[in-house]
Amino acid sequence: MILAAEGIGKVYRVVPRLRALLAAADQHADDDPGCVDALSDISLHVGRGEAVAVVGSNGAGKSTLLRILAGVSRPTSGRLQCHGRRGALLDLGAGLIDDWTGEVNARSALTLAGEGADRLAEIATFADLGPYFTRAVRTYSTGMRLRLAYALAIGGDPEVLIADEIVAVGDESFQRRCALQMQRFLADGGTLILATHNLYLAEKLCQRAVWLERGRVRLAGPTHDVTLAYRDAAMARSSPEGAAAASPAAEARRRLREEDARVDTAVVEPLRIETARAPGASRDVVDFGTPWGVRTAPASTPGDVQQIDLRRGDGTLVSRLEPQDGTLDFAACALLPGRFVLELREGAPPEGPTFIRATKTFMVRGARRELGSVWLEHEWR
Amino acid sequence: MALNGPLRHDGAPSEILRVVLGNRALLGELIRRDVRARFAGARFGLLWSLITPAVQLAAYGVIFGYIYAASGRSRGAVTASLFCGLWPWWAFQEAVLRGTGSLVEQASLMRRLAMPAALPLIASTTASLAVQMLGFVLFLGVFATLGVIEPRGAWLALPLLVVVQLALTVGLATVLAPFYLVARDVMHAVTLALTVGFFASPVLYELDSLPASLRVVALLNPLAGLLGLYRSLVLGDGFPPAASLVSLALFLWATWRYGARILARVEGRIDEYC
Repeated sequence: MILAAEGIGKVYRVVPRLRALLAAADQHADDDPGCVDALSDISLHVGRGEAVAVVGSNGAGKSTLLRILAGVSRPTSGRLQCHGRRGALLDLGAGLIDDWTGEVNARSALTLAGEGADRLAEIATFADLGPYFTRAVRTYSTGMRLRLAYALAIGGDPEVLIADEIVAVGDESFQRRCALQMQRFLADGGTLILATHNLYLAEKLCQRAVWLERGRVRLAGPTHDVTLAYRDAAMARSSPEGAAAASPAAEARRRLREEDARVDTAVVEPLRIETARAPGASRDVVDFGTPWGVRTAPASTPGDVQQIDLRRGDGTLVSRLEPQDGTLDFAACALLPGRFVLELREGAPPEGPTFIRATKTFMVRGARRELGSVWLEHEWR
Repeated sequence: MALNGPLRHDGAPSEILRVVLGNRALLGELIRRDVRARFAGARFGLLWSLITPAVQLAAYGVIFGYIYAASGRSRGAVTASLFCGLWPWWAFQEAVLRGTGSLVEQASLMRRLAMPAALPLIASTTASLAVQMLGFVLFLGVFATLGVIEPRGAWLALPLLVVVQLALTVGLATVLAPFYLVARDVMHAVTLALTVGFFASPVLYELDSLPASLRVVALLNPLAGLLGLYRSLVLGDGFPPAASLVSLALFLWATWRYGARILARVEGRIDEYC
């Protein structure tokens, strides 16, 4: 076991108290309205060479947990033991001095991390800043700053890497290099704890996952099981029923919408999904492998042409469809479980369909665990 | 690098020394970083730490040497006395202000890099003091060359005095910096206290020139002992009154005793305040 956290809790005071500096222990009652329980009773054991994902919505406590695991924040309760050299990718960009060049910042960061200047070339190559490496950081774009910060953060050759949202850094090519670097780190026997909203990345890199909700562990186990449950919960929240359950205001809005619909029966959704399970009804969920179809309203302006873009939740185009007269049906849903978006575009020639008339977000549900967007029927010979 | 851990929760003064000795390389880089960052982008760089006090010293020299010509003393003696009061005071003032603000200022670095809170605090105070005392030594050389101050063998003990001043400012900063983390009003209060302290300490005057009633109160000020030691060591003035040195020793003991304890309470909790 390289890292063991037992019953970790973290309480933040909304307004810090001077008294806390004078008393030996800053006591607080469980129901103290001046306190926020950011984390409660979190236990996590990570073996050497393991990769563990921490997932959860914003405010679930992921970053707080990572700061504690990285040793930069003290837990209010619980115990933490780490038997390896830790490296942290937290608060990228923190500690960079704007008036210094990238090189001088890198030298300083290496010294602070107890590293020799021999890693400087490696950092310069990884950050890929070209001549900007020897210019003041204040002349950098946001992406360049982040690339330098990322290169500095991983420059310490850690045994345990604790990373918060690494894939949100830099352009596509840099993100690809980060992912490759992370895979190399794991292949070399490194241990990874990764907080991310990117479930695809979590599934790709990590064997185990912990799902945090309101500062507590909602589920922990094999990554696919956790991400599946997390996706289901996210789907339930984003469905009209889930949203209604989530807030009284949303419930009130739903009732108003229903009343409006009753009054104006001519309202027609321009883009909707139907499944075999409930023909004629608009659906937000499609089961993998089952028949489904897309229904579109006629073009809003006669003579306009239509086009449907099917995208993955992250915006990647999966397929572009040209609607013909009639209905669009699929014999079996080949989309892999996850979130997808349909965009109905319209427009008159010659520009074509440039105007987005409607979008429809839906989830594909199923037990398949392959990575990617679409399941291609195949067999190995 | 294996960090020589944070202060334990019931922090003792020796804990601070343990952290410093255990992380000398890291502390050295933090000091270098502090000095370089402060003058980065400025064309005259470190020269500003000489120009600013030199101009102020010249202004005070003109006021006290010419306008309010001190009775029975040469202008050179007045300038030398002002130099031994003003320069160490500026060093003290700047080190206290920077030490007080150090944890807030370095919060972003401390959220990324696990390090004991004592390190950025000591780095800030040491860097400020080092830069100011460099100027002090340079000007001491200039005054000696010009014949304003007569060189003395006792100057060799000057580093010891600087260590005492460092201990005083670090002790004070260990008390103030955690409070500034929790309540940002503290910096305003510290600035105000330093303004009052400037006039309440024997910076522009000497203890002997005070009326007896005020002199008793002034002896309680730890700066009276420190500045008295500077004048005694550099100019060969008489040794400061024992009471002022006792005040200095008591102040040092109290700030280190309670400062270490207070600092230990914010150890690893920077994210709760910044």
